[in-house]
Amino acid sequence: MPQTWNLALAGHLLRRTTFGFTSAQLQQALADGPAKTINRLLAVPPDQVAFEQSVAALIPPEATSQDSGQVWLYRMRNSPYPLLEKATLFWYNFFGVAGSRVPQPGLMEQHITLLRKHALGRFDQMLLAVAQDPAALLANGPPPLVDREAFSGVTVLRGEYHFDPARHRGNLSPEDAVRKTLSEPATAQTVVRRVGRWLLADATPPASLTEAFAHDYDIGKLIAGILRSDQFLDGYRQDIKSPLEFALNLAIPLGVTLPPAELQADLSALGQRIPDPPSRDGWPGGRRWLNHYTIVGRSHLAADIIAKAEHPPDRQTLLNTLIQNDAPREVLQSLAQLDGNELAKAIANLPEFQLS
Amino acid sequence: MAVFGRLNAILLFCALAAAAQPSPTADQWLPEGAVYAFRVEQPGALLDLAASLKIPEMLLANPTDPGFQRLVEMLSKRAGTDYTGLIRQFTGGGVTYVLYPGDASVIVFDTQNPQLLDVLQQFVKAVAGTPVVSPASAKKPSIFYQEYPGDVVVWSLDGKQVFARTGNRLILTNQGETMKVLFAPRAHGSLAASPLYAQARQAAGAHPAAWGFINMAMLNRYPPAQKALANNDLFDIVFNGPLKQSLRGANWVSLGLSIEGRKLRLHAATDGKLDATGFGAIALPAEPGILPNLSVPRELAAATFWRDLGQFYGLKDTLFPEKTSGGILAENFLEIFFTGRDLNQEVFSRLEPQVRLIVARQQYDPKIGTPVEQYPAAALVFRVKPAPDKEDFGEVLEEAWQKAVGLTNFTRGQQALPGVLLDRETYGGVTFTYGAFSTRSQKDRAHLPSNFNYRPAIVRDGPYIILSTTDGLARDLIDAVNHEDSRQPARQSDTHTLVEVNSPAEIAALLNVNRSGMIRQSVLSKGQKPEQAALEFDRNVAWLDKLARARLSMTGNQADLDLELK
Amino acid sequence: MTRRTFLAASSFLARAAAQTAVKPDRDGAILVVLQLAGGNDGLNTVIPYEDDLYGRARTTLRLTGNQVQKIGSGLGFHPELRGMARLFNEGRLSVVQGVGYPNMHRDHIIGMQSWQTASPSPQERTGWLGRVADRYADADRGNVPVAFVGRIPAPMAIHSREAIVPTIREANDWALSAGIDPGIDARRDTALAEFVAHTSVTAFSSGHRMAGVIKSSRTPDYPDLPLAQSFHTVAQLIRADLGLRIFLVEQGGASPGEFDNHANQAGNHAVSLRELSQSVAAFCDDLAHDRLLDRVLLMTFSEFGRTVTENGRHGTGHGAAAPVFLAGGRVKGGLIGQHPSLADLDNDALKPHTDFRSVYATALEAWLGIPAAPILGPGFTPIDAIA
Repeated sequence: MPQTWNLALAGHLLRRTTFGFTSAQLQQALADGPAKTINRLLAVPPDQVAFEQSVAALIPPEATSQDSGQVWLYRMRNSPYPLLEKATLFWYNFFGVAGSRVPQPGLMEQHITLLRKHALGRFDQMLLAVAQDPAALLANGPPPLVDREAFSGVTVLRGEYHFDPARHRGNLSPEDAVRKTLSEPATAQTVVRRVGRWLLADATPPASLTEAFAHDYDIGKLIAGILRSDQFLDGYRQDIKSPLEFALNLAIPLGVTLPPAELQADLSALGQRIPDPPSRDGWPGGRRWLNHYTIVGRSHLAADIIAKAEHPPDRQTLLNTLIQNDAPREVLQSLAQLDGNELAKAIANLPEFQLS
Repeated sequence: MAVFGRLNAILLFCALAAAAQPSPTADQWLPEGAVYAFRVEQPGALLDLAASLKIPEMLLANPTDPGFQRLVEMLSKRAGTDYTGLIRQFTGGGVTYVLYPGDASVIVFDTQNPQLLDVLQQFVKAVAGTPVVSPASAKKPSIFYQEYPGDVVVWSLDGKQVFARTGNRLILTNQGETMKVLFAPRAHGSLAASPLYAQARQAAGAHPAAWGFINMAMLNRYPPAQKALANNDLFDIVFNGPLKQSLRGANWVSLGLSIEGRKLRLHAATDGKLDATGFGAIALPAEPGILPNLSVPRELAAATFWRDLGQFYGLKDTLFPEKTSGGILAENFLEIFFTGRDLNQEVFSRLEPQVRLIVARQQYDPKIGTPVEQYPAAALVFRVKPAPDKEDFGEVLEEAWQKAVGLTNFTRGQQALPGVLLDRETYGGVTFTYGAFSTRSQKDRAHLPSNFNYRPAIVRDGPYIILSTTDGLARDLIDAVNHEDSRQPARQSDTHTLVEVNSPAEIAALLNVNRSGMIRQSVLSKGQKPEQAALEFDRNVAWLDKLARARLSMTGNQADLDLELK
Repeated sequence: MTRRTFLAASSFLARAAAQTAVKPDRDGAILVVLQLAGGNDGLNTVIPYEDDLYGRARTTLRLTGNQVQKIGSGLGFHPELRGMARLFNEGRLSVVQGVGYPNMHRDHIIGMQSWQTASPSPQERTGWLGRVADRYADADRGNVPVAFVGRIPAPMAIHSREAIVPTIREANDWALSAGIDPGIDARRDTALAEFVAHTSVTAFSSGHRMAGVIKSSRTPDYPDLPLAQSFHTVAQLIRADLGLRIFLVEQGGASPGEFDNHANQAGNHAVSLRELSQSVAAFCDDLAHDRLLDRVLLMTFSEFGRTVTENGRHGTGHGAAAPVFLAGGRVKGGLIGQHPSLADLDNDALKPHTDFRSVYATALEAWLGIPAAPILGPGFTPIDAIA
């Protein structure tokens, strides 16, 4: 457990595990310390069930991929359990199922629901489920890491998984092929490295966690272990916010509600169309999020969000909540004359705010 | 502020001059040259109506600016009445709103209770006198208060909106310069005397509760208005085209609101005319005129349009010079459906120039199932002109319709979606064709997908052609046209558009059935919370419950919207 | 050295090596690709008016020697292509004849996809311009080499795997007002923060430059047509010097597209060609005015030509080969290749003799100076079209 705990590190923890946080949430995390905050983030909150019910009513009966994306954006903005949604998005990126390749209604919703079910659970169960998921099969064929020949008899008929023994080639059934993959140590290493990419911005997680994960494939335990590890805080500002994180990191502390349909279009313009990654490898992320156009685009989006803020917080709260007041002295000095919306816009344009 | 210095001097002079005049009506006092003007001449009638609709309660339920609310409370107390009573006294002599070029607007309240204005005036004077306590922001409001002889008081609380009070009259403008002009001696005439305004006032009726004047002569020189009136799109063929054409040549538009008990009539008139070129050629009504609307069970709305489709097709290139991808596609398809026939002479001109549209709520057969999202059914009814060569044009239409259904089935098949199966049925002595989706692969008959709202049908009943989205509505229309055919009702030869909503309760019922779907749409497209969206939805439906029926009727240069409240 | 920095260093070296091996010999060269959706009728665009077979096949759609704008070799431009005829006479427009590919798809969706992915595989998810972006958008610099300018959903040609290729509706999308970015250029203490700061500084100054260009633009003579407005935006983006080297624009909308004239072709096609010609001419004139035309190559394409014989509805069906136009300050001008023979048809369509990927290769190698093989696959030699 790290010895130091301060506003910057509290912000770092919340950025990795949520899509955004209010000033009150940040101060709470600072006061509670890392251990208590991590426990709270990992635990299922009491209003999760009620929230799930209210969201269920939002899903249209024959949801297209675009509809599912909008409902998911609503969740990401409003969920009392943001770590679950972040993990779901991580796995979504891992499997890279592009909505444009899944035109049949209802299938993308089914896929996202499946991922959410296992997102903090067991990877082996998730991989087995994805291996039979119609959306994943339609978009990318057999799941990643698994022997493709074992899936030669697998098709999707009328939106459902279908196995035809007559077309099957190879010695292993699809399920056995998945189990074989799960038994190989390389699989656990690959997955742990990817989770590390998310939470540690490219540093390698401790070997003990990899071994434990290879043994039980417990994702929740792995994530908890990484968050509590010594390396976790080393990842401070070592990553770049995705367009989604950029938008919600700004909208949530300012109390701005973005219509999901509009947010979906805005994020798409910045290179992150949800749910439609450019390839089965998902969004590359990192430095790839930023180019001269998307930086200008982020500035425009930030201005739109800030314009909708009805009661912007005071100067110090803005600086604390958006960048934890952590910027070079000359930068803070150049902001000294600004207040209200002007200050918020200037902060949103800073490199410090682009960094995660 | 320098402008107030000058304002001061001029007002002082004018107030002395103005004091000697007798008190004119607001529009006699205001200068001419308005872009538009609205006058509430019988505020009592409007307020009575609003009270019966419980509008004040609705407004009060929404939180307003606390400062304004305090002011209202104070004034109500002094006037010895409540919020609604306060409004009544404040507006008793009428309210006038005028917009002048340069975005200068003026509102004039003619109160019946000068003491109210005294109270307001004292309040402002007190505020103007106290030192200003700055909020966090560095800006100070610029308060200005000045009394003049001749019973004129001028003030401003924010340096932008300027108020003036003289006798029973309270005047508010959004620009200091405007207030100057209002009190300056006039080189030009008054609004009431200007010819366009006077003509519009006459067209609004003898005693409207409220009425409006729009200076089309001025607006028609204003590029954005020109652009808005120039656009021609699909909506224009059906509805807007004749209206837009009249407005393009107009000098004024008059809107008069009359109230008689529970009936409201909004009468719109213009001096612009629908002439025989452009949309006039299509929509100018001629003998024998339109047949009345048809009536079916669970009807939501019915509309009749006098539109000469043959003329329309002949003129389409002039009316729609810009080719759109959709337009070219539509043309391609029509050519395919009516292969070999000239679309103008041999298709569209074969129909009588009357198009009727009916929209009704559906009743779903439990043996088939009910869709989750319930759409209304809609149908178009035409009549075929008697053909000199005795050709059965109805059969030509049915062939085209079957091709369209086939093409739709094929296109859906390309996207792995099911198509409709064609069938025939005899009802009311008429055999007609319809298509229906099979339910063989549907597991949940109580929650069918939306495509089950469509069972397209075509009916040929004597000269009548019915194109319906459902067979159910087709059957109801067979009854309706058979009834009409036997009765031969009278036609109206001056009206080109008639829309009637006879049971708003049916609309409310349909909206309520689809409540969760519509709330979901609001949440996703507007970003509201579900509870908020639900509240707004219920409030909107509640408005429908207050309406008994509505009717819109349009002739060459007039339109009447009649609303009957419950 | 951590794993991350090693990877970064090695990829940097690899990239540096790639770039030194392929130095663009025309710095600042710009490619504008124009997509005509629906299948443009090349036979009535560049017309063999003297050919009997043309007259016999096009019973009502035929254009005669008196109507066309003659360009030599028994060919003439459609009467509405006035602006483009002028460019042709000025030597700023070439016509590459008979362009297509073996076994052309005559279906809008698959046909258009072929031209956009430049790949025979229907499974291909990236577009040829998207692949250029992936290769030349440097993750450590944040440059944006490719953009789509238009108001429809981004065509597949710009689909990429890693690089983010913008869809720009108007120049304002890239404009930023001054004074909103205090503190961007201060020094930061980590490599990543420095990267973000450095890239932000460049991005913001490009945004200010764009705003300046919009403000100071004289109003050039672009007609009030959608394609012309897109070209106007492209011209402004070029002037703002944002690092964009390839622009994709479109006429005709999303599938099926306004050029798809199955009926009453005469009037509709004329309107489309008028928009095309006026817009292209306005664009070229605007660029020439600021001496930018020498830097620009415009290339048009459509998913297929149309059938030689008219159908019974004064329209045509889906065909195969069609001409590609190349316009700019450094084109060779004139006709390139022979007009496909009307006597040797494939299912009532003209046979292509020039693979469109050779034309793409011309744009990539001969014009932009980047190797075509990594983008298009091996074996496509540029044609001789650049002066």
